[in-house]
Amino acid sequence: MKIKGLLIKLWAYMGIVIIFMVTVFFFAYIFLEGHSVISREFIFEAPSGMVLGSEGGIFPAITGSLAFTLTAVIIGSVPAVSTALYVVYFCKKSRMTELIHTVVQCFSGIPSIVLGLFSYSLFVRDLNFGRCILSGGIALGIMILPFIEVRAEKTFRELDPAMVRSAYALGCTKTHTIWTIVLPACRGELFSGIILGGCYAMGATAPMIFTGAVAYAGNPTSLFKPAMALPLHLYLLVAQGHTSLDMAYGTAFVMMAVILFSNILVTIYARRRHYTWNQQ
Amino acid sequence: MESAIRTEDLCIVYGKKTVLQGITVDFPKNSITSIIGPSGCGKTTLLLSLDDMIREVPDAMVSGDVYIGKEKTSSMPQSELRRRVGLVFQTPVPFPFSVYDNLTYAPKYYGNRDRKNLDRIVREKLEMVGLYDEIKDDLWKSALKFSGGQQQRICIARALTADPDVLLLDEPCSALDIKSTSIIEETLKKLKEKYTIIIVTHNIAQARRLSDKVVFLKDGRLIEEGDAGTFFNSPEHPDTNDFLGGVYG
Repeated sequence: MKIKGLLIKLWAYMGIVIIFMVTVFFFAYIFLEGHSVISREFIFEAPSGMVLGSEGGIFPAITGSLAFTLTAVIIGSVPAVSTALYVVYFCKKSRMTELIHTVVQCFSGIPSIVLGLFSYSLFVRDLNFGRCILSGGIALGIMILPFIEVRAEKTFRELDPAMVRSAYALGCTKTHTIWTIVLPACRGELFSGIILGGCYAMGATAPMIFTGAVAYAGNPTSLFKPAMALPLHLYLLVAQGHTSLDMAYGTAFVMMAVILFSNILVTIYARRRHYTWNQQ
Repeated sequence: MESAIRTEDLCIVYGKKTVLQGITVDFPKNSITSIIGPSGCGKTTLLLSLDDMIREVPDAMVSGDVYIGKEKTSSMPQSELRRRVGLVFQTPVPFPFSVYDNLTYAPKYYGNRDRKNLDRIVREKLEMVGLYDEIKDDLWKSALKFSGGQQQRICIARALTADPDVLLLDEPCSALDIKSTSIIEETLKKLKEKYTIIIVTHNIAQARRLSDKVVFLKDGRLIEEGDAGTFFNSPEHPDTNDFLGGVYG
């Protein structure tokens, strides 16, 4: 029994060590391969060179990615949070809840390339939006919707139900309770889930290939124009072969840094928000 | 004695499980009625059905009627019903605001924005639960920073700010120590002069100390009800006898 306990402990510790080592190795490898190209010019200039991207920088890809992400976050988070609110606070039939969960799970299982194809057919072709930030943002928004919904629902369920019922017990409507108790209490975690969804969208390539991301464009100026995006730029650099591989690692490093920085910022915000709400 | 609230043939089913069957019971005005019975007998369900909170439970189906005075609660707007029937939960759950904001939450919802009026309500309700002198200098402090007993009294005061006729309490002392329990019991005894109080309790001694009337449930059925003296001293039903004698609980 004692040996069994030790083995389980060892297994758990090894898991942590392996995850930690893989993460450190991953970041270190990308940094070591790409740090030589990281410079002020690389961050703030547009790509150039005979083979596009072999010289210059990635600034339009950074701003384009941010534009796609912001659009996706707005489009994906509103229905995701409202679905979670419906499931937790309005849906009285457990069968309906199960149905919604099944639909959300099916949604999250759709391959991103299929989402891209669907968005291309509907938004780019049939609705005539063309390849633009909006079409790409919608495709990404659909992709992150289940991701945000699951987190939002978990956040709402973790809020003490007695607190919500106390507000109902005073005669307050659900809407009033949600505005004054639920959303302020869950703001940190909700924001965190939405930004993590944004990070997920920022790294996705497939839904944007057909819908809005292009090999070269200036900084985004309109929702109805195409833009560059970091993952597509990275894909194209790698596809060009050895000539642009350093630039590809540099791009990957910047992308990872943006995502990591957002994750850290969100974690700090969510913790502080949670603390502030509980200590008011 | 005139009844403040009354149920008639109340049945409650959760999915396929019947939790309450044909409960017809009166809760007299300006008195404390304790609902007692073994675990899972439907005490809390009965309590929650009185202010329609039972409808927040998924898959709950309700039949039968609840009356406040002569008015059927099913024909009242839910908000009005819950304003008239306050509810305090088992664990103290103040909102994570200041004491002042906790106590003005309901009045503000009902449109009372006058600062002097709100100040008066806060003072009056805290005095009712015997808390004003204790915390009058900390009204802007987070309600979460007070002791469990004080938090529960804040919750009782908050329930009173909506000006209810009936106050429901679901095992309000189960998470509290002896001293806090005794303070809350004293508070409830004072409050019954103005409000009708219905309390669910697991604690037979507490029911004996507090109650004017006792309702005993078992397996979702009303086994026996009556004034506290008769109920505890000479119960009629053998199940009541067994329960009071500690044969089951």
